[in-house]
Amino acid sequence: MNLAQHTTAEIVNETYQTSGHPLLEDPKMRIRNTNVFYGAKQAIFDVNLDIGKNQVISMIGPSGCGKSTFLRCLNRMNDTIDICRIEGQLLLEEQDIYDKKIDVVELRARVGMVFQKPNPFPKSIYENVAYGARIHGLTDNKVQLDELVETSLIRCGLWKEVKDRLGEPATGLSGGQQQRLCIARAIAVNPEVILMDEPCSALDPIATATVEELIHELSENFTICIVTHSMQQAARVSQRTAYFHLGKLIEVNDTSQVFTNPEHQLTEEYITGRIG
Amino acid sequence: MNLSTLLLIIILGSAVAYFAGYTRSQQIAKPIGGVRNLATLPTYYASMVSLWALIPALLVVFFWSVLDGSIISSLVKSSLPSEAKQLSDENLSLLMSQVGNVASGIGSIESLGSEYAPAVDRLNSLTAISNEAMPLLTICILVIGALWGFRAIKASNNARYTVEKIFNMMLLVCSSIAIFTTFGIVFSVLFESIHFFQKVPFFDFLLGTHWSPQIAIRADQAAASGSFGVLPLIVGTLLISFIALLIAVPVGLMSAIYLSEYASARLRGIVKPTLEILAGVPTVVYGFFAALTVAPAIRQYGDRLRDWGADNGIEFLANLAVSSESALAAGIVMGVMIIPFVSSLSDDVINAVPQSLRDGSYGLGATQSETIKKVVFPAALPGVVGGVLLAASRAIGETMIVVMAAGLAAKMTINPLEAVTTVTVQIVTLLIGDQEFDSAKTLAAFALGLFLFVITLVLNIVALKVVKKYREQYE
Amino acid sequence: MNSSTKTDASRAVEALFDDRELLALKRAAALKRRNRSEKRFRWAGRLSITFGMACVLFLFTDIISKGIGAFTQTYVDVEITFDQDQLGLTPQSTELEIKAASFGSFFKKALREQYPEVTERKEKRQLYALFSSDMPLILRNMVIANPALMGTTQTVSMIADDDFDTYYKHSYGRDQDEGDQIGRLSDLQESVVDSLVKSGAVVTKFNTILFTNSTSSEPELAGIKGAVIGSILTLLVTLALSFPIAVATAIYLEEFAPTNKLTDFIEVNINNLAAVPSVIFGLLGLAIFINFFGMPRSVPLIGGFVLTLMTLPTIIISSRAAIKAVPPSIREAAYGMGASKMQTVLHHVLPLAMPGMLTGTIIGMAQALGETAPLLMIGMVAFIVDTPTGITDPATVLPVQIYLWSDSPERMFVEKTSAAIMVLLAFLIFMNGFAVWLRKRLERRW
Repeated sequence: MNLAQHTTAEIVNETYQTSGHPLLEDPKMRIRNTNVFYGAKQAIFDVNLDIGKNQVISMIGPSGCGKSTFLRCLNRMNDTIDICRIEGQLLLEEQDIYDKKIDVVELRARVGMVFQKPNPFPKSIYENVAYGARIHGLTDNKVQLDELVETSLIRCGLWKEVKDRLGEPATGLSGGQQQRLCIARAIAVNPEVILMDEPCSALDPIATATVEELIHELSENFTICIVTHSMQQAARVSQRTAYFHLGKLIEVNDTSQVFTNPEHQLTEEYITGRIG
Repeated sequence: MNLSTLLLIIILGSAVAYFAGYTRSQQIAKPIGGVRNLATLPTYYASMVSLWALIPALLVVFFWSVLDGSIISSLVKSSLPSEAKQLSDENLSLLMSQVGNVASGIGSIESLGSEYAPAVDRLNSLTAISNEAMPLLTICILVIGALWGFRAIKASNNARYTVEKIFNMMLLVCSSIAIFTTFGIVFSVLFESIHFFQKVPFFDFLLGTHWSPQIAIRADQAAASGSFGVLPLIVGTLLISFIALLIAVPVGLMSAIYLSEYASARLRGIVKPTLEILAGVPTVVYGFFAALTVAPAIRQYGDRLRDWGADNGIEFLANLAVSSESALAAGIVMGVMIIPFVSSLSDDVINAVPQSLRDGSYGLGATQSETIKKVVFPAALPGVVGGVLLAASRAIGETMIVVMAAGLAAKMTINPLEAVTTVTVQIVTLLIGDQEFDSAKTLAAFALGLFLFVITLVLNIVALKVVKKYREQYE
Repeated sequence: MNSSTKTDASRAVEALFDDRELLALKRAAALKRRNRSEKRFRWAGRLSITFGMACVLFLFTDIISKGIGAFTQTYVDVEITFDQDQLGLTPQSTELEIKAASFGSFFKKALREQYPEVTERKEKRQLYALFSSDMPLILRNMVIANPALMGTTQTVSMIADDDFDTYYKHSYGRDQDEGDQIGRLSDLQESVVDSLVKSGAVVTKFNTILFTNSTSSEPELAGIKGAVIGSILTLLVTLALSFPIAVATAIYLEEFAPTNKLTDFIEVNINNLAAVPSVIFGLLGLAIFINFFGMPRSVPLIGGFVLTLMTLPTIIISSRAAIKAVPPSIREAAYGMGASKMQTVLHHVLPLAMPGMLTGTIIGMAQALGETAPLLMIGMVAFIVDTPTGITDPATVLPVQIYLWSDSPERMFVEKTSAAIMVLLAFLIFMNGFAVWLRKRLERRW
């Protein structure tokens, strides 16, 4: 098929096949034939994707392409939206996460999330990090909790900056610190997967660099899915990149290949700046 | 001519002035090439004429009605016999009202004494003059105003400026009514309270533990000490408000939380307006409900409990005494009344908590109730506190329920089964019926009013500050 | 805290980060408790809304069950001969002559004739007391309306006294124990009632008295007409004053007011007045209008003044919200056409904001209609039998009438109070319903 002769709309309207290599061996998460609807409107079309263990996968695409919606399906954050309906199979370690037997609370402890805008709770820095451990009953006493907070903050490189003011309100931190605090809050419950929804879009370049470095370090122990609107960021932090367009997963490949030698015409148009 | 006829005439007159002005401006426009050559549209000329007619006439009516009573009575006082002029203020006002009665045909001059005949005649003639003169003067002013405005219709005169200026002034005057009302409240309660504190020392009022205003009328010397202690009223007010909040705050808050966080849109659509009904029911209906349904029921259950306690030898139950008017009944019903108030205020503040905080908590695997209890509620707490303060101020100021169901017994008690009385109850009781404005009994009501005003004002200002600060936090 | 617990702790935390299975076990251990607490919390919420809903239901059923009886009234059909000799009247008598005739003794005699066995004075009095004390007056008015009745025998529907009415409606024909009986009828009266019922003369009809009479000290003759008209007059005064003033204030504050201290002060005042207890407005009315300006007591005009001051903040606040909701683009469009500020406001902003303003006004009026306390203090609490005809006639209002009646011990007054409440609530529901309808119908979404 000669793609160059098709207009964008035509390509998207056809039944499609994701280009590149969406599937992996022994992945952390498997997503099969997944459709998402908001009321009558379909937001995600038949997505098939595997997410590799202890890898960073980034999802890129023009705004409104459904990448955030897709991300929120992975820990059932869309459950809070009444009109949202999800079809298909989403497996975490071969377990269907939309299975009735799965407790969503348990799922979200395994698949944590970091949001676009830093959203620390209006509590102290300490309480923010301790929150997850407290609700899940992870520690037996105060000493352990202190230790857990310290370890989490150290792993996020925030400990040195905040160790003397753990009791102060988290809202007093700078934007970058707040976002790193939110990441510390997420890793304090030691999730298997961390979802990040444009984690740097509200941050200045220096804070962004710090957070990107952190993401890189964390990928040793965590599987990370990151949605980003910045192609450079995707190129910097991720091993694999998935390109979404109007609710469809157009292409998945190793990051280097997506940015140097895209298989699909739409991906190429996007990374060269012709659409977006 | 009565007032409504006169007002009708004024309105008609200004309407006539409007049409006259409209026609006149078009006449002026015709020889100079049409309306476009006037400085402004004919409607503005017409409005100008009618405003010139309307406003001075209305001002005359207003000031005449306000002032004629006091002017006439001061004139009549001068024609009272000389011995009457030596009377005290209280007796003089009593005498004046008797004179007024005779003049309007209630009671005969014989009962009053023939030496008052000149005063009665004077009053009658002055009233007649006033009744004749006011409409006459008003209509004259109306006509003069209209002519003045009519004369000002000129092609070069931009009537729009005049009209807009008057319009602007009128808006400002209307807006300042809020200020005048506040001043009116402050001065009326303050002045009468100062009079009161001249009779009863301030600290006897504030710290006294005995309230029995009825004694005061008969013996002034007894009134000076002990009879006007406000503490029992404060205790009663706080007791009832506390019971009310004890019901309204948990129920209102939990309903708001359930409706905004858990309930389906359909359930919310049914429950919310139904609860709002409670806010629209007049307080007198709650009073009736409290006095005729809730209080007897409480008493009945209390008696049953006492009998049961006596049969089973449980002493504290056997001594249970439930009065037929109880703080509990008034408090419960008042609580029900302010449920929608608390719930709608809480609803506002809960909805103001950004969704991102909830997402943050859900994203960590918190359940809904954990998210609400540990994230949403603490974040909304200042707003909720503000709402509770507003509810408290409403409970303290609530009148009819307590008038009808709480009783009049000024007892210092925190037993909710006894009858207590509140500040508002006493204000109403002291002021129902005819009053003499100089008795300590009447003035006490104003002192209580001052107290109530200050308390509710402080509560409101604090509450609004808290709520506002909280809102800014999330904006 | 010694160092060994510290190392224990760090080892435990290390384990948490290394061993996800241990983590899962820990979470699972807590999950049961968490789910229970979630359930408890949900139930607390459900309980709260159930309580609120139950209160609404209970309040309304209580009032309706108490008041429904007042919508019927017991009448007794009695044959009465208009005896020419006893009254000294003929079909040709003039109205003046009829008015002078002694219908009181005529009525009593007519009753005695029906029950010749009643001879004792005390018993006779009990017999008369079974019927409304207004009956002689009603008979007289019948004759005035139609003098030809003289000399004829007519079946007259007589209004039963309240005790009779209560006994008949609530305890008649039911099995009951001694002492459980409602009403205050004597044995003789009960036997009379029983015989009347047997003869089929006792009927209940829709109670028009409730709507055509004003208050009365006789429960069976008391109606709400005077109070309803008083309420309407008071509300008219309130509406006529508060709507224009509130709209003008809202326009000024939103469109014209410069940002200065005066404007701030006005705003602070409005916000505070909204929360001042209504009883304080009564004090204001009493001290300023009645005491200082010497205006008359008990009249709808003063009631309207007080209620205006009380409802102004409500209407101003909602009117301002309505004006705020008109998007600035509309104003810019008008200015762009060269309209003056006043033209812009009057031609564009005001019409668009009107639905919101009207809704606020209706809600303010509903609030004023239900208000009682301030009106008690300006003397609208007097016992006024005449129906007011103007805003300067002494009058009472519906809520105050409810307050006054609720103090009366007669059971029939309890019924009539509840009936008056039902009428008041009907008005309020209508007004609020209208406001909601208006908002839905006319409100624009920008």
